[in-house]
Amino acid sequence: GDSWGIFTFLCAALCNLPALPALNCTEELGAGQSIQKTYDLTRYLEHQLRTLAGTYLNYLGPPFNEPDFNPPRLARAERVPSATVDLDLWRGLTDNARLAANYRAYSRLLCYLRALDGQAGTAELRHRLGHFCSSLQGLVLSIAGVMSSLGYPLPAGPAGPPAPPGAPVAPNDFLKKMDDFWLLKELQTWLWRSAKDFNRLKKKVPPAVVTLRLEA
Amino acid sequence: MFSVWNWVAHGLYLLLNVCSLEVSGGLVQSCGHIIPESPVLALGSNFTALCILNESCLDFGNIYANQIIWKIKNRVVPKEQYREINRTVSSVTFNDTSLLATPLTCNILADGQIEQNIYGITVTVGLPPEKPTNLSCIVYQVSRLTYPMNCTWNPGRHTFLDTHFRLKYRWPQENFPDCIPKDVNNSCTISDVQFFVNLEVWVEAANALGKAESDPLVLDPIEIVKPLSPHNLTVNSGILPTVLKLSWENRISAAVMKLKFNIRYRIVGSTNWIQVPPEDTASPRTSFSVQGLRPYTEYVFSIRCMKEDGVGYWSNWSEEKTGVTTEDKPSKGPPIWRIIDTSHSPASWTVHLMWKALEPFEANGVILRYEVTVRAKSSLSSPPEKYSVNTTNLTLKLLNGTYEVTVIAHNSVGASPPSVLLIPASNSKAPVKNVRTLPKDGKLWVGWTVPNSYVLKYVIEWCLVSNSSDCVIEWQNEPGNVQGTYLKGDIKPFKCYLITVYPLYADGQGSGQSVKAYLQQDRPSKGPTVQTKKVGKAEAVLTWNHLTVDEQNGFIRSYTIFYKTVDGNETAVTVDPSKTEYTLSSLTSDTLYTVRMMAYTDEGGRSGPDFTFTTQKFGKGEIEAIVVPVCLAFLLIVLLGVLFCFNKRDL
Repeated sequence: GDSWGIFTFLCAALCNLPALPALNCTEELGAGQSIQKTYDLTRYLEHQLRTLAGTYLNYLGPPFNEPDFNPPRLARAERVPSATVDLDLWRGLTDNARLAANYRAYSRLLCYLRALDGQAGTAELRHRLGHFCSSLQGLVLSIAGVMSSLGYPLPAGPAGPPAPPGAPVAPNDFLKKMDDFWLLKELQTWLWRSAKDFNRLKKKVPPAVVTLRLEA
Repeated sequence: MFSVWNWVAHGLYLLLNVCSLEVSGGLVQSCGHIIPESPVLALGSNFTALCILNESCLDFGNIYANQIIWKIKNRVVPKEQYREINRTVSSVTFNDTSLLATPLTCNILADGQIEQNIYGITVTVGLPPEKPTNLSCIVYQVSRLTYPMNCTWNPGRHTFLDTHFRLKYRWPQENFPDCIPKDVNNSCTISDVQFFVNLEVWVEAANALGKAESDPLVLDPIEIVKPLSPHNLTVNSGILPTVLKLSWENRISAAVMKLKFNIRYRIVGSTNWIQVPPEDTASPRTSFSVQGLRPYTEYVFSIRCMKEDGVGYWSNWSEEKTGVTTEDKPSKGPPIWRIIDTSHSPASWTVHLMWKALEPFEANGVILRYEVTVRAKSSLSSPPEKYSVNTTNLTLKLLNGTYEVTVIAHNSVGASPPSVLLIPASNSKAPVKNVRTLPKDGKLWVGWTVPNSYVLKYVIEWCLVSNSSDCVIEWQNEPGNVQGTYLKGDIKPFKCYLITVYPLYADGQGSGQSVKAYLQQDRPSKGPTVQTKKVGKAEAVLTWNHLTVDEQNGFIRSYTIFYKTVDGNETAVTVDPSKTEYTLSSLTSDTLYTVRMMAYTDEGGRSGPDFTFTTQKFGKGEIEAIVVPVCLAFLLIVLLGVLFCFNKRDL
């Protein structure tokens, strides 16, 4: 009696099983591939930033290029989205929330980056900076792509210029350099954390997609 | 005063003319114009042009639209294609624009049958652009930071018009400026691309007749990269003589792309590349140890890389770098042989020992010296004699007896295995039988019949037989299980070689069996010189010398003697090649004979110089047989005459 019931249930489950993945095969592949590419891009950006930061800080000159330079975070530096949120708090967020935070942060970081001194240093430094900006632009688009392939809505609101142009421009040269320093530092931390986020997301994706679809 | 008004009138007239010129828009006021101006037409389509005459022109001598003649270049367009729309407008229609050429002119046949040109237009005929196909792109790494992408496509058929191509590319929400090809119409290079974001690429072709777009190509540039080859390749020899360690620097960071490699190597001077199995170098690395190499050999290495997962293109092969493996001890001892000279005295021999230098792949290094040990087996008491030489031969004076000679080659690493040659007191063991030769494929093959006992190896000696030089012995070893071999060495055609085969046993040696051979025979270079030894009345004894070896060019199979008189037929006689004398008989007496000889090998014959002789008039003793009786008869007659005279006087 019992064994027959179990047998029938198993048969039913097995018969239905092929149907389920078929529904989401391409979606799954798309999302998985998207996340992998975003992860690769984050690592690529980290790699670029390593050399770029060193060269740019050298251009800024001392004390910014000293290895133990650790200034207190001034109030004006709060404009740059900070990545130093409690890690437990961060992990406690949903995937959607984390992706959205990444999207918003990088969009703003990109704007600030574009506003960096266009005449900075050597032609090579400018070339690297330009390449990095384009890569970061690509990252913003990639994150948007991942969010849409997972079915999350894109964060509303302007991803564009956060503050009207001309607003708190650094009053003096030193503080401007401090702004640049904090921008690069925050970029480093964001990229480091994003890499971990995407790595974790990569492993999570297949069941997450299936459950989403069923709920819908 | 009058002149002033004159000037004013002229000025006004000129002004009016200038104004009217400006209005009419040209230096010469045209009588009409054509619509459309400068059209661009699609090939094969139909086209209609209108020639509209100006009203003002019609006043000049009765010009009407039906007098209009259309011309293409200088050819008149057939009247069937004309249509008179009204008094001032004429149209011409072409059903196939491929027959059109530039310019198309509207002309009028004015009074007096003079053809006058009214207007002309340039007509351009072409095709709209075809959809570009076969769009493909590749990202070339130019430096550590620069990755231009080059795309190529098939521009389609020739349009006969100025067609512009633009390579367009974009991200999902971001457009980039178009890439405009320089000087070509089928490729364009984008100076820098980003990785890990899908790029949509397509080509747009446009000309005056239309636009066409290729199918878009969606790709992530990281999947079409041709990286720069690794550089700063260094080759280091290690402790082992069969291993070389390669190190290099990759020019593409691991954060961008993980690489896999192909390593190839060859021996310096060879053109054959050997590949390291790709499975062994299929992961990111900056060094590799190549094993299985030959000691003391110079190798050339080269390496290339591509994306680890096989997506993309292989880089070019890197610059070559050479390295030498370290020496190893020789793998084999040198083959040994001897020439024994017993000519001075039978009890004491002069033994010329000779051995062959090892091939580089056996020597494994530079051979510094050879250690020769001669042990007398016949007298156990005397200690072995050691000699150290750096040549490949050694001459010793030994007493008659059995000796064991060992040769060991030494290089800087160590000693080779010993090579042993037994020199027995006498060659008493069984020899080979039936030594024969066969020229084959430009080489001389020697064969023999194996003796019944177990042979260790064979030694084959050969030397070039010549009158002008000594017979220098060359030799080679052959394993004991063969019955024939090719002679290794430079065997010249048309030369006689003396080949000897010796079987070597574990405890002795068989006597050598010799045979003479030619790789290739030819007719002799000279003919035998024939002379007479003795000439008689009806016979002559001819004599000659055998040809020297150098003149023979082959084995002399026969001689032929040809003799003839001045006006007679030539007679031929064949003679055995071992003879040096022959008697011609049944000759006519007192006749001049010319005789010559030909020597024959398997490949032909050569004639010697002619020799003439005259046979005797009288045979042996004939003269005496005639003279003596004649003298005796004369004497008898004289005596009889004297007797008769005496008798006569007495009476």
